[in-house]
Amino acid sequence: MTRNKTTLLSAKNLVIGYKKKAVNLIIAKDLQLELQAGELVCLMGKNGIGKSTLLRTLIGVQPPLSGEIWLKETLLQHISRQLIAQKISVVLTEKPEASNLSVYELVALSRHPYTNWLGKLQEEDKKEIDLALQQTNLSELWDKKVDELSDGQVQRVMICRALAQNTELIILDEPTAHLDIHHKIETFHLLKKLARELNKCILISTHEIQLGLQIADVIWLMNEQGIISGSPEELIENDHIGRLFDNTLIHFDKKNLQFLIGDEQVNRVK
Amino acid sequence: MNPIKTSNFNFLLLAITLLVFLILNLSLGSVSIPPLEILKNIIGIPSDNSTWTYIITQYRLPKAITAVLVGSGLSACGLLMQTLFRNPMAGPYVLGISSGASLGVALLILGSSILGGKYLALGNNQIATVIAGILGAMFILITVMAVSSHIKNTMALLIIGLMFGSFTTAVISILSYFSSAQNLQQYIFWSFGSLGNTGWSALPVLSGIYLLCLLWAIPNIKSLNALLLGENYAKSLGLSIPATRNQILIITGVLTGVITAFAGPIAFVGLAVPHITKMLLQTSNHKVLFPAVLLIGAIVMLICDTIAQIPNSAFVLPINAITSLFGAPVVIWLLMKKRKLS
Repeated sequence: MTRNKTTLLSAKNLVIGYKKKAVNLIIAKDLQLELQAGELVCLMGKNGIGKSTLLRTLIGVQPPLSGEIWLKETLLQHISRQLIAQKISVVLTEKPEASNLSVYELVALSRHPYTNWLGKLQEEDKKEIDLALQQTNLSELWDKKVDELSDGQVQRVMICRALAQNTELIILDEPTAHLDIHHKIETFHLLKKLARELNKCILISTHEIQLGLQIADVIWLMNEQGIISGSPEELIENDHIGRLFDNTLIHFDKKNLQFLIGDEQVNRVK
Repeated sequence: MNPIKTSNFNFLLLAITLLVFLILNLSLGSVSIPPLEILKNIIGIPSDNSTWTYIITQYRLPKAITAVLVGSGLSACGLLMQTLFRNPMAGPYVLGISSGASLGVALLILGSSILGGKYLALGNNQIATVIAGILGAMFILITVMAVSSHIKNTMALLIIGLMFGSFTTAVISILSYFSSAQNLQQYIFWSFGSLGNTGWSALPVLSGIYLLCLLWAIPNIKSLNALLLGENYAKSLGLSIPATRNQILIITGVLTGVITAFAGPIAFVGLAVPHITKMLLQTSNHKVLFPAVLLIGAIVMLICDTIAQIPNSAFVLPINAITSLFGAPVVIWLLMKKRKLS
């Protein structure tokens, strides 16, 4: 399968942050970003560095302080909410309170931007929902209540919901935060598969550095200076990953792609 | 894969239950009238007993229709507010919206008495009462909304509602001190809550506004379902939160206001019925919940009204007392059951 390199989203000179009365609280500036179809992109960085703010800005929930975000050839701010919803879907960290909805009903909510004023599902909507259920391996659970599912299954339902929204771009905020290692790997594999097979762009913010380095096509490394974007190999070679946590507590083991406790610390404990 | 179909049976069951309690409500009272006679009168077959016909058509039928409108209307408001506030404790009475309507009506009835002169007639004016009720309800609703954007805590919201209730009582005490005995009595009877004292005359305005509000609520059902995922998900689905919120606020404010103006402040129905419905039907889907809440709200109100008339006695209890007797335990049960409800 030949993958066409289509740029779905690009950010130019983006400054993100919050407006507090007259003062701009800048989180990150001079960001130049691109998202291509068919790619799995991992956004990594320390806690509180502004990953969530960046994601919120990219999905148009929070206005940028300055700079431009383009969805293909259109400026994000010129696109209506409903149209954005047909181009970007999200999986957020907050848990839905819709505990009494069935899996099918919850996934069906994804068709909100496409259905009429009554929210009636047409054949096309049902087809998309069934397809998404199949792709995420949830077809057998369709009539289970969401609160009967395990955390791993709930997360798969939320990914399925985003998938059924049928958007080119899916953005996930720490999708594996509460999962065990088995389900973490399973989720990453699922996302990689969806990016490859459906030619979608999937952007994940994550703390799973080891997994991300193995599976992502592109890494966005967010630090105080901004975002360094590149393939996992590049970032490891140039020691950008190693400098992510710049203190003596830990160091990065390039061979095993993981952070280890610094030697001094180990000795001190011993 | 069609989960909606499974609930059709439930709706049939609910509709039959509603019919049964409607006939029961019409049949029981200070004099018992056989259900068959009720049916005859409704269909229009002349009855042998003209007294019965008079009681049914002039008193019990408008009262039963009012009960259906009031019960379903308040319950619908409760459902809309619980989803909008993402708070299982939200409801027209508990949040003080009914108190707001009371305040509006009290200001009108008691205030007109204090001002006297040409304002005196205003206190007896039905339309003026309705407008005062709606304005009062909207005032409290907007205040609660503003406060709740700062406070996410369920208990805090509950206490704020309680405080609005106390505030209203205080203002009414002050007003009643200055007003005439006759107006005071008029207000107190109103505040007991009553479904029957309006007769047919109130129904056109009440049912007209009721229908308008429900019709307006229907296009919001889709948004309410999206809101189940939380505000951020709802936004990502293209929903405009402020537009949805404003529409629901206007619908609930107007509907609670008009119902309270006619029937008095009726406690707990709006809070309890959505929970009973969610428990019975085991779903959060508003396409099912909304119509079901209307049916169950009407059933609950008819039951309360039937009890309030005390069959075979001349006494009629205040409807507000009955709904509180049944509703307050539901609230306590909800608070004890710590599980997150939505």
